[in-house]
Amino acid sequence: MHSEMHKEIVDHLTPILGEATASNMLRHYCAKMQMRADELSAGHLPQLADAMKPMLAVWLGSAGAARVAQELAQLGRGAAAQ
Amino acid sequence: MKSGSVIKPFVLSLIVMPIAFAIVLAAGGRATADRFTDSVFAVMVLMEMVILWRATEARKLFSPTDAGHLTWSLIVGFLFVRLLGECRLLTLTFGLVDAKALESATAIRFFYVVALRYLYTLSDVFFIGALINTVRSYKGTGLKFELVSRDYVYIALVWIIPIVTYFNRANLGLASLTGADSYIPVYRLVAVFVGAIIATMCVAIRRYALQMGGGAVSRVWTSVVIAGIARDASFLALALLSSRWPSGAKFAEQWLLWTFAGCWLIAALRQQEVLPRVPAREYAPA
Repeated sequence: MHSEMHKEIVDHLTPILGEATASNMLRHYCAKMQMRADELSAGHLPQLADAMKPMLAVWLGSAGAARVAQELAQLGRGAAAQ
Repeated sequence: MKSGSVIKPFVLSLIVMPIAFAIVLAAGGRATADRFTDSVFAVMVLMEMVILWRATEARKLFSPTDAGHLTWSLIVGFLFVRLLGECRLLTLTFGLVDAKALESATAIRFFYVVALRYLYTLSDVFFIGALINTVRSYKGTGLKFELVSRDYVYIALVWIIPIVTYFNRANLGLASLTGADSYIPVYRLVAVFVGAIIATMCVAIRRYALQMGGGAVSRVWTSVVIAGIARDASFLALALLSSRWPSGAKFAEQWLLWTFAGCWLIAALRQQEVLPRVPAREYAPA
């Protein structure tokens, strides 16, 4: 069972990295942050986005990774505003 | 230039080109058909200049510390050295430098005609470096990217290409854009073996791209994989067709190299479209 936030992040990353990589990557970082995917909330996003940068940089470069991380963090701010 | 605007004309060209070749061959005979193939080659060299430019742009998306920077630097090196080789071949194809009577050639001309064809092999070494770095990058993420048993079958099939070419090596010197010479079969055998290494790595990267489950990055590497396999298949086409149909062999080789070039152009454009919405430098890390 995944949270809405989890789905939103996967949806954001899928056009770039593909659905499988987006899901695996998120699972990988949730495990690193010692939480379950269904516990993911807007408050976790800045830390999660920052942690993801090195792996994103593999495919997107540092600048692209920084940009996507910023967009992910903004997903959290958007959710918090709602 | 967007990849979407290139794909349709490119696919169309792949269909139209053999039809045009057949018409030219039927109407004008073998010599005219060979000139048609030479023209396709000349246009392809122009396309390779554009590819080099677009690959240089793709490289700029990565900072020097990124794994992708090394990958795209090696790709730019590969395309640049290859383009040098293509310019050499252009001068030979259109008679600017005499490629015949090598036994009586000066040392410089012999070096130019025979030794410099190994520029292609050198360029392939850069390409292999790029592919190795890509495999390392995928593995380095710690995510699950691995070959499945089917891939080993594909790799075995890929290695049939150099083996079949080896057993048909007597045909390798029969057809060439510049006319046959006694040194070209050795070069082509080297090239087809190096090509098999490239194709093997392409099979691995194709698997990783599939395991990504779609996405823009996957599409970049799928294009590279098709390019790599088309290049290797061009040698197989030469080996299989040269003795029976030299004009057809030359054209088939050129058609596959056209496929190779088109896929590289699409790959370089797609790399730039992975994050299309705003210039990447606006997000450059502090």
